[in-house]
Amino acid sequence: MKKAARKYQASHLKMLSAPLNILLRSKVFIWLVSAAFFFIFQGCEEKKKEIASDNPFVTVKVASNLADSVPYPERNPFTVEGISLGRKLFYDPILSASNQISCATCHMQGMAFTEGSSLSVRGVSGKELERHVPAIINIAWHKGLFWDGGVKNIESLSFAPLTHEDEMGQDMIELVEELQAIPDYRAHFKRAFGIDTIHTAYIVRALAQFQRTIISDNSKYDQFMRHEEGVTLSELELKGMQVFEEKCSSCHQGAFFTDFLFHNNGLSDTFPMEPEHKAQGRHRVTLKLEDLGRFKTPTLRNVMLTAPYMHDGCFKTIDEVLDHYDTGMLSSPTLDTLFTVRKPQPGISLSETDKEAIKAFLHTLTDYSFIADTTLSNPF
Amino acid sequence: MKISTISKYIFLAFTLAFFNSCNDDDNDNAQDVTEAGTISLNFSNVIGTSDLELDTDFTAASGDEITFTRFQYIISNVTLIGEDGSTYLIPDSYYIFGQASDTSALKEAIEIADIPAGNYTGIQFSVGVDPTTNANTDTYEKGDLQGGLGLDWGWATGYKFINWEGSYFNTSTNEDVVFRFHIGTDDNYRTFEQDFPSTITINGEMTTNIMFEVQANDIFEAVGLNDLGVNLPATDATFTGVMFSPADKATLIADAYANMFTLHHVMNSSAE
Repeated sequence: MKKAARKYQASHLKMLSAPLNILLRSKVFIWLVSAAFFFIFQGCEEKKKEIASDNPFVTVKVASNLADSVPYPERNPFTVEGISLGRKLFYDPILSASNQISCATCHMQGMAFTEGSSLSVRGVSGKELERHVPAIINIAWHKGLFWDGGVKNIESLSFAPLTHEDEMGQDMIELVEELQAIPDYRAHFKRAFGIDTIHTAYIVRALAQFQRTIISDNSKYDQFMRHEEGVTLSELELKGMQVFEEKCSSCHQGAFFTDFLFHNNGLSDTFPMEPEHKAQGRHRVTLKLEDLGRFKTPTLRNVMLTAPYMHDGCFKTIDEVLDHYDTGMLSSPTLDTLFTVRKPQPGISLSETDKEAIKAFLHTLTDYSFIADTTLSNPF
Repeated sequence: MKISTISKYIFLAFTLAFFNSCNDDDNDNAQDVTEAGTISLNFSNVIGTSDLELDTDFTAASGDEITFTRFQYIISNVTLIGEDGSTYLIPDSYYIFGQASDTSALKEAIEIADIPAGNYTGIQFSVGVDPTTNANTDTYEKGDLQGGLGLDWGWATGYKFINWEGSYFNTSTNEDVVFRFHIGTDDNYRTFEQDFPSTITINGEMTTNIMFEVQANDIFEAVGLNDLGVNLPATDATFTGVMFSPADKATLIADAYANMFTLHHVMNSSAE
């Protein structure tokens, strides 16, 4: 075993000059970067104690039509052990006050990491949440997290659902004690980060590493865009793609199917302060008047798996969504100007044929290998 | 294995060289006692002339009748100003002072060791967390700072530089209403400097106690709760307070920090 491992490292030493962006073919996400990292890491061993010597940095694989690489913050590079620890934590109900619910309770892989209801009542208090559960899909690339984008990075994000009294209701100090009491977790944190004492920062870093690997890039649409053999789109799907590009893609743009920005799409014409400024959307973060009622453009990847829709889950089906854009929009001063071109009723005109075609196209964004990916599933 | 051993020796060699050079520098700065000293930073919280305690009724300078359930603030980046104009930034100095009735014990003082021996004329510190450190809350080895412990926001990223909570008597509704002062964001980070009454010597022979008084009334003079309650729309009924918004009030409070922290006195005690 040991000999084989050393040989593996030796072969990577020879790869020093090889380009870094060679993709692995297997659906296993991880591959070793290069011996360069190995050396840097050795040199910093005394300084950067949080990284264990047998847990080198790795690169997470992403399809070329989505992105060149998966971003991560300098303080939290990917490691095999970090990702596997994050996955374990993500699925472990020990993270909640009741020890009954895990992150996966509201982010189910089969539903593209959503939950299925408009406003979830699965939290420890059983109280209805005030926002619709957002999908965890390709969030490594998001610039602001949550529906109003107030959270700056995935590490910081996890504290919110962990500690919110209506979500997981966890006391972080108690959680650290609980995890510290479990030899398997102690050992895993040690392997992942080189720490003997578990710390809140590393709980959320592990969770973030795993969540950055929740990447959907293998839908029929992706395969078609990569010109994969035998993959074709039907006439209706192609028409749908064309209508989509014309009428939807200014916000749901590019391979991510989102501009990562914030828009008012006419769901409401009043933006009350109560409760807690939540109807005000992006305004709550920036305090700018033009951001009243603006919410983040969600990705449309796997959209057929992620109903209901919108920040408040007000639409049960994709038909209701399309009807809203066609005929249901409410005017307000911050309504996106893309919708006010049409007068007097703002919106985007969609014929019944358009709607059928768009739906057919949206179905091509369902990534069946993503929801079946065993590197993302419950490890217990 | 070999590579690792060699790199360790190289590292050791560099480390030794580094420390040697440090020692050379120190020789220029001759002191009677060169052994590093300890300081104790003390913050005693008052409102008017009374000690500020949780779950106790006070009348604030604004006229509001208030009770605190939480009175916490973050002091950071503590820097001592040397006689020669040099500065010594205490590494990872992020301290959460005060108390919350649901969790922690009162923190009024912190002892900080390894202060280079020398003569100092003043102290600088910040209220809040510098923008770099405040950009994420997976904070590690930065003093008391840690995410998820009630001093960071959930829906936005960053720490609450001051976190005061309690209730006040709302004179228009004649009932007790919850209040919250959660002041944060980069704009409200404030740094200020205070001179010591006279030059002080810090070294291994004694502990230097630096005593601050924290006057809550300076903030209530800037923002009164009943005034705020009247000005806020009636719909915002669950509490009265200043958090992210109203931003202009948050600025008023941040500006009041400078008056709020007063250097009371400095005294030495024996290191033993």
